[in-house]
Amino acid sequence: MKVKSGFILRKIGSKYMAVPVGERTRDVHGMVALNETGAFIWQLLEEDRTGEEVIEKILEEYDVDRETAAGALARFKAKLAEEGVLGE
Amino acid sequence: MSDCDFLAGTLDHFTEELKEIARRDAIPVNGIFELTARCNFDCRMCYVHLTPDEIRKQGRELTNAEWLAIAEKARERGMLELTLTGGEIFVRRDFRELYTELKQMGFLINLMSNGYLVDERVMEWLAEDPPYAMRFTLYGASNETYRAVTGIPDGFDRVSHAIDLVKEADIPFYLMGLIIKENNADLLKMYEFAREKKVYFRHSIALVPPVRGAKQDAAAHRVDFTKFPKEAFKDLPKAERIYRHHPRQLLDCAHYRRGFVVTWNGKMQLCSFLSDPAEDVRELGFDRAWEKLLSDLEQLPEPEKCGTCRYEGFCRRCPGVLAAESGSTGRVTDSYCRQAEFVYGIYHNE
Ligand code: SF4
Ligand code: SF4
Repeated sequence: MKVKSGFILRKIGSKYMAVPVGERTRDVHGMVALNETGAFIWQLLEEDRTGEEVIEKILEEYDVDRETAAGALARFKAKLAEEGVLGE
Repeated sequence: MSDCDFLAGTLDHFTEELKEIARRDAIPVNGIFELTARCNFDCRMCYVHLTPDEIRKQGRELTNAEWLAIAEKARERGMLELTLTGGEIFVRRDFRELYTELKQMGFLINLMSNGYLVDERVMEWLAEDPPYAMRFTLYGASNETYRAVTGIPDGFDRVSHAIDLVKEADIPFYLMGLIIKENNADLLKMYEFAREKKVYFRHSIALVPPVRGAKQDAAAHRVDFTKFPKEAFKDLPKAERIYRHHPRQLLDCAHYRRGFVVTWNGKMQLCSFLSDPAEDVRELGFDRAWEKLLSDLEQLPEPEKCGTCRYEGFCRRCPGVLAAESGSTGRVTDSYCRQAEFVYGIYHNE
């Protein structure tokens, strides 16, 4: 599962945000505000990866166990889906 | 990893934090590109639009390539919100190309327009690639009033139709009414009109005197609230104090250390009204222009009188308007101060 195409991930100061560009602005108004972890996972979700691969990457980067990473990823995806930015 | 709220809170909170960080670290998050000084209207009180002669004297409009190069540098420095304004943006023949390119760069783009040139043809491409928000300035509630204010006989009908088109396209939209003597009588009708169209409307009587060679006469058209009878304000709910003290006028300026305007001929300023300091972006490049603007602003003179003025807490003290009124941020004019004195009087039942 990927985030939809048509976003630019930006970092301004210490803040991260995904800003829709071009036609994507038709279905997402404004921007998706992210924190640093969110931005890290967002980047992973821009590519076509399995959930397992994303979890592996999170484990490489963060000092957490597999279960916590999987739970956090699921919650993140649910939030992205709510915002309407998650594609197939 | 707790429930590390990957999405960083609500947007309002996020934007407020971003604004604070921007001011602290001098990140230019807010940009205004004044794309042209030309306009299809000829408003009697306009602070900016110029005749072709005056434009030739002051230089030339930046090309799309120049605007895009500035935008690229501004993005690297952190520009997020970009307002495109004029003059009238839609008189630029190559506006669509510029807009489409800018839209690809990751900005939240606001469009300011008088609405007259927004027709079916424009909406065809704008609806496909909508801006973050769009604002029309409303000048009256009839063609007669439009003629009196803007010189254009069918202005109201055209703008009214344009509003329908923007609404149909579901573009976030609002109206701003600029009230002068010539359209003052239409004010309530303008509110009614906005209600019927289901669009947000607010109005302003704050007329800024012309800047940078514009010749219109603000004073002759301004609605002077200090001439209103005091009884008109007697039912106004009075807060303890409506403005707080500003130790420096710049601290209350929305753009200070986080915003800028680039004028149609390539000068970077704090805002459209304050034309000194003005840094030449083509000559200096974006980064140096921004840094020079920041340091020049620290030298901005402040009126001595304000330091001991009893009306200070009731005065807007916007450096841009002050400079447009008096010619320098370091000077006040009687008419400017009279407004603060008048508001002070109302709040103190004097
Ligand atoms: S009323 Fe005049 S002197 Fe007083 S604070 Fe405002 S600009 Fe300064
Ligand atoms: S100078 Fe005044 S009008 Fe200009 S940005 Fe600052 S507060 Fe706004």
